Amino acid sequence: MKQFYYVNSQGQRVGPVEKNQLAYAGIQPDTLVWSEGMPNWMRAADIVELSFLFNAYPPSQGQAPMPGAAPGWNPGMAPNPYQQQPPMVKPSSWLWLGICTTLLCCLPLGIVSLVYALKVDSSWNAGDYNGAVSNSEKAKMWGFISAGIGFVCTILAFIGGLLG
Amino acid sequence: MDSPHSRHIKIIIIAVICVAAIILYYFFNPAACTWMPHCPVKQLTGYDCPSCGSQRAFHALLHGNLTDAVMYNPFLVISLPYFICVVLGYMKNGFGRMMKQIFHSKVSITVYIVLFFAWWIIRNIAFA
Repeated sequence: MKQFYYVNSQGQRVGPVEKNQLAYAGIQPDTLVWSEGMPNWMRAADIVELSFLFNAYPPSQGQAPMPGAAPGWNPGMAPNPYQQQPPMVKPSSWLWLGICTTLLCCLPLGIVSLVYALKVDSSWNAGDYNGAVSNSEKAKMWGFISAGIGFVCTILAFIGGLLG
Repeated sequence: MDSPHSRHIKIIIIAVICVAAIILYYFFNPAACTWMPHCPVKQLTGYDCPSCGSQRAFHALLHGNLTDAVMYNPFLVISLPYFICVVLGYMKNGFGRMMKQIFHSKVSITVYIVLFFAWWIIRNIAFA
């Protein structure tokens, strides 16, 4: 995955950060971002590849304030004192999937997914957002592995039941 | 984030699967049907897995027969309501957030995992 660098509200360079983790980094439309192949630093809002960061909240002309922004703050004014706040979105723990697989698949693999679901919570509470995101991805991966194996086993068992 | 549209589609798919499962397990008794899937773990190892008996327990539950359901698989009788609470925790309103705080918490998941293993061991030792 493509790696990005950005300048945080204190003017420090942060990175490299994977593209999908930028969503949790508190990037604002005016944040300067750079990645390999770009001639210079650019405003995040001007990078087509990063438009996913702002689709939910299009840069407004001062009507609706950005979520989490201080009253009176607009994207043209920097730095936003609330930029260092925790991101709004806690990554999913895929709990429904973990429970489904432990309940239906007869296989304890779903437990691995549940353990990562737990870790999403602990990382989040410890303020470790990257950790929470990576645990969320692992919970999802193990959940689907478990569901896949369970599905195949059930089909095999079904065929076995028909034959025997 | 989900768009409202894809969220609606997901809800409809889940509802259809649930209704289909309820109809299937209401009208067919897994204890009497040979074509219903048998547990692969049980067939391979001879040991009961934590979910063995879930289909029969679900059938009994749908017929309001709680005693039979508990005898087939008490773990399902506990974890099915828990699962419903977890799913309600995905609702985007105040009630959903409350359910999420309680049932998606570290404590709840830990209790679930511990019960899973405890039940697995106990059923194979005590009811073997």
